Amino acid sequence: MKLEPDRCVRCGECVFICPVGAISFETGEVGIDRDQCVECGVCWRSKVCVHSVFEPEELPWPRVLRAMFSDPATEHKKTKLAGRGIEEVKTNDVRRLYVNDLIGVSAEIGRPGVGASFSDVQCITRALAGCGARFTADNPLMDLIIDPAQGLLHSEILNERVLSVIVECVVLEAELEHTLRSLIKASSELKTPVLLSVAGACRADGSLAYQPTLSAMALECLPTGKMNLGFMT
Amino acid sequence: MTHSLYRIGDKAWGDDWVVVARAARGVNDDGATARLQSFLELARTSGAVNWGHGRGGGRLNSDWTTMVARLADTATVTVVFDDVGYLEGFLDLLHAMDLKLSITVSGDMARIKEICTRRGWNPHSGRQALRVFGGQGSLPPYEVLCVRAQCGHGLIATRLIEKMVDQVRTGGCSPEEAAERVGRPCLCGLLNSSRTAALLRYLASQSPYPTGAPAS
Repeated sequence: MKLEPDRCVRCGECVFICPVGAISFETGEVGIDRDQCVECGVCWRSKVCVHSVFEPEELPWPRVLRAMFSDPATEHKKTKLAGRGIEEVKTNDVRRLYVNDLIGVSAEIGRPGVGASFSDVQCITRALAGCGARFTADNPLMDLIIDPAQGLLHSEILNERVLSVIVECVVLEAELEHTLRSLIKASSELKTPVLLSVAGACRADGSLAYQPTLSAMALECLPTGKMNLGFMT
Repeated sequence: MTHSLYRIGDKAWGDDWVVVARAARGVNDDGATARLQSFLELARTSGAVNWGHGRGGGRLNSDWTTMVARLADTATVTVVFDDVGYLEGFLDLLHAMDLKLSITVSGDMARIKEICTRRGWNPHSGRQALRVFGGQGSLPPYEVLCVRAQCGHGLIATRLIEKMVDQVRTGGCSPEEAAERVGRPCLCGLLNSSRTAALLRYLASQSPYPTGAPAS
């Protein structure tokens, strides 16, 4: 985000709007911490500044990744779609990604509200690669993984910060416990939060395919979740 | 994936349901814009507290003309309810309309199953979050997190919530007005404004939060 400090009247309203606290008046002038800023666009889009101190700018590679993963209004260059993840359960009654013993596993790094670097993300992709998980093809992160077998990302992006990144993969039910244990171990080494989730088919008795494994591991889900109602089946 | 997944907070803050509609890109999305518009039209007349989509914004930060104009075949359209009765009425109408869209409901999983069972619907699949792992030292207080977690993209700042709590506490605005301000950065229209108002009212009754005013 480009700053036009000469237009600033020092009202201070913008300080409250930034999700990562990158805007400050520490020197008596409005400033943006460029390292912390994730280019989410909230300061500009919210019109919190009536004097147009905040102006969008053309972002160079690899900084543009910050906007692609943090600003829901910015499209990924390759997919021409905005957002961090895939359609997953939302269209699973059509795409059938998670059926029978295929379980979706995902890790959202940096959420809620803390942010993450791609270096943090690589800790998770390496853990998943190490247990043979298959990364989900449509996820925008896939373009940034240069070695899927080892889960390595482009080295030049590792210091870029974003609001959050979602790593998604599909595993067999028999592989779920090992995958989750690997993810939990890798997450414990990070300073930023990691939200893990699982997706699976509804069985005939109404239960979900991942529940037996979670029960065996004594892992509890949040009571809330999302259910595809199957209107397209 | 977790757009509406990690919405924490118990029933003390009111009910919270999100219905999501979309078509599968490259499979059945051809001409989906008109079907998604029908979903959106039904949403805004069904007792919902918020509705919208990422490209067109939501009730708190956009207008109907913009929302419709910016719909696309690949849009993910959402509607938020704070009342299970309204949710069920909406789902019944949606089922009868047969819009040829995939429909997902976020909320209490046991209650969603109940709703489906009573109607003879067979849910296809589900997704649930485990607890938060990794470092948690930077997370805000739980009730603040309950508000922040309503924006799946994480666009609501903790300091904005604290500021609006302060305004409610000092009588500068009502919890309902504060909730609408807090919800504006949430681009997709996913924030539950009535639950947020309840949370802000509660927070305003607690010990003060720093306002984060800039140095003069």
